[in-house]
Amino acid sequence: MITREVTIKNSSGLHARPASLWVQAASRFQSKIQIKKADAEVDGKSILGILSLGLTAGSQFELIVDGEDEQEAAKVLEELLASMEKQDV
Amino acid sequence: MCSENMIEKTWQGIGASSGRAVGKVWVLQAFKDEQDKRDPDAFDSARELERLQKAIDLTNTNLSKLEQQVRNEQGEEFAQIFAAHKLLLTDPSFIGEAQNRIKSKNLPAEQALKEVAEEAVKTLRNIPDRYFQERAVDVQDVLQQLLQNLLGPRGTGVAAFPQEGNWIVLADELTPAQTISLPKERVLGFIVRKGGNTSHAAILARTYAIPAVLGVSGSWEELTELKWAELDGDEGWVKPTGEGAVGTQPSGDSPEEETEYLDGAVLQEMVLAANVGNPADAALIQKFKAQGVGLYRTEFLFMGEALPTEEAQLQAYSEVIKACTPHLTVIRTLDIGGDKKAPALELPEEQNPFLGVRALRLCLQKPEIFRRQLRAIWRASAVGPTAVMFPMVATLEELRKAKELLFSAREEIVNEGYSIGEVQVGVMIEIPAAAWNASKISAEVDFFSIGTNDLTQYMLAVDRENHQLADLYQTDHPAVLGMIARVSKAAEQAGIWVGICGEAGGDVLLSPFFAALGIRELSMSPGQLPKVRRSLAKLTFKPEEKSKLVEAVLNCGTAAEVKERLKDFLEGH
Repeated sequence: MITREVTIKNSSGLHARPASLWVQAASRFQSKIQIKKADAEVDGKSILGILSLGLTAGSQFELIVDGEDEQEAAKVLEELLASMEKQDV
Repeated sequence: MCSENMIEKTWQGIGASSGRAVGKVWVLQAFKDEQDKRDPDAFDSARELERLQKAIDLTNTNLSKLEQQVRNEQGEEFAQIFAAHKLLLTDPSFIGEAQNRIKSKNLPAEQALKEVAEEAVKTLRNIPDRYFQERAVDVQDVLQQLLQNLLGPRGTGVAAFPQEGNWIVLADELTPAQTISLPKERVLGFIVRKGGNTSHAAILARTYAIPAVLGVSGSWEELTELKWAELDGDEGWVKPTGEGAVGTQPSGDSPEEETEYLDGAVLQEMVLAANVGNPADAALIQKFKAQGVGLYRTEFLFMGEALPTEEAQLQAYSEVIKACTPHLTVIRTLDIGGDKKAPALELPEEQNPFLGVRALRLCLQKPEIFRRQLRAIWRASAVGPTAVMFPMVATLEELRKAKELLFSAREEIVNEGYSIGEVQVGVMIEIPAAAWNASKISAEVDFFSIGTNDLTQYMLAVDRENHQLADLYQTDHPAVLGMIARVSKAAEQAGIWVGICGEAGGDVLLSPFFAALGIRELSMSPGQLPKVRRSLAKLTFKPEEKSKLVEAVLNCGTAAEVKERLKDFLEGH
């Protein structure tokens, strides 16, 4: 199991389009992916779950990946966030 | 069925798109929530899960079709909305949770979906960020589609449009998405109870040259009794008709038949151009023989969930310019705000959006977005004749600031080694202050284009989206026409050209007045071109007749008198 502290840096946050991209990326992996923010914990492959956390710019959350391909999954998702920040989508 | 007196009944509405249509009526049923009347003891969760899966598959197929169609017709930005909807169909917190409730709580599929969706909507609405709050609409939209599809083939909504035959579509309200989803080649006409001349449905109907009457006075109950109907999109009436007759009749000649009229004296002095919203309309430019584009509304590019890149804009603008060449394409810079929303811009709610931060005002506040658009326009200008037009200018300072940004973008582009063409610079005259000040503004631009929709709205203080005030929204009010005359005179004295690009540009009754004023270009929805061209082709002015007509019209006290004068004039010619 991998746990990472993540901060959202693109200006509009993880709203519709970025959240869609995230879910599309996360769904490619076998691993269970959880996003934990304060008391709430949601399925990282659910667009509704992610949106419900209201991850606006500057939000921090804990990314928990558990499964056979956890290394690769954590890497891809972190890279995705970095590229969103760079393009500021 | 129809009672005796109903046969005689005629409903009055707003003629929103030209032409007559007669045929069988298909009613677009708004979705109604029906109570589940099935016996609770007969509940079968396996069957409910199966029903749900069928509805999901059907919805997914529909969304894919819509996504593809919208991608072709409106571009990638719009298509992404439907791609996001598809993700909801596989969402474990939405569909997965609904499936759980069907199993654990013995709920029918409809109720399970509604429960889960309601909770999601509530959660999203409570997030203190508008981006997230607005996603609640997506959940509701997908829920509606699923519920409709659960009803099976006898469902409601656009999906229920008959597979065969040509129909008149009757709707209480028609959204742009619904209009887009209908097979337009089999729609004879539109009868819509709500909405006015400038609603999106009206503009789309005109774009596709489908006759339409909007804002119809009757109650929904009596209208839905219509089985066969006839409508007139010029005079704005709807009436029941006997069975059997089917067809449409454009009020103008078909494009092929009218070439003989193309040489009229008035037409030689005037340019008849098209208003377009996206590159897909380029086909209509040719079909209706438009002499250029007098208004290219660029905002549709910006209404998706992400802002368009410079490259995406370059591609869109180039496509229209190319289709128009050798004629001119007038690109209006971003006109967002007011009735047009752009989620990606995250604009705050305003008390009076039509009087708020819209169009050029917004661009000057967000110079980076403006700069990207201006750069794309300069790069596209290499393809063919191009003009840029700034909307919502109230003061000379705004125009000067906009021009400064325009020319600094030009410098950047040239320095980066791109080739560019000449670009004419104009102002859209739609705020009364700018119209009044036209002689001062004329010294600093190459042309004026009068936006009659907003000019009317601002001069008469009538919200043009408010169909209860449709009678007061008078583009032919003598004060509006007087203002147009003032602008035209200022342009003439300064030696610049002036066009009309609001809906009045396609008004056959007003066109002789515009010709008499010396307006050079009338730009309109492509579907309106044939009738205006035909009407102007028959027109000749004897010496002095132009100034007499202008004087007679401007001496009127009411819009009704103006109409009488212009009708008399047309009948005498």
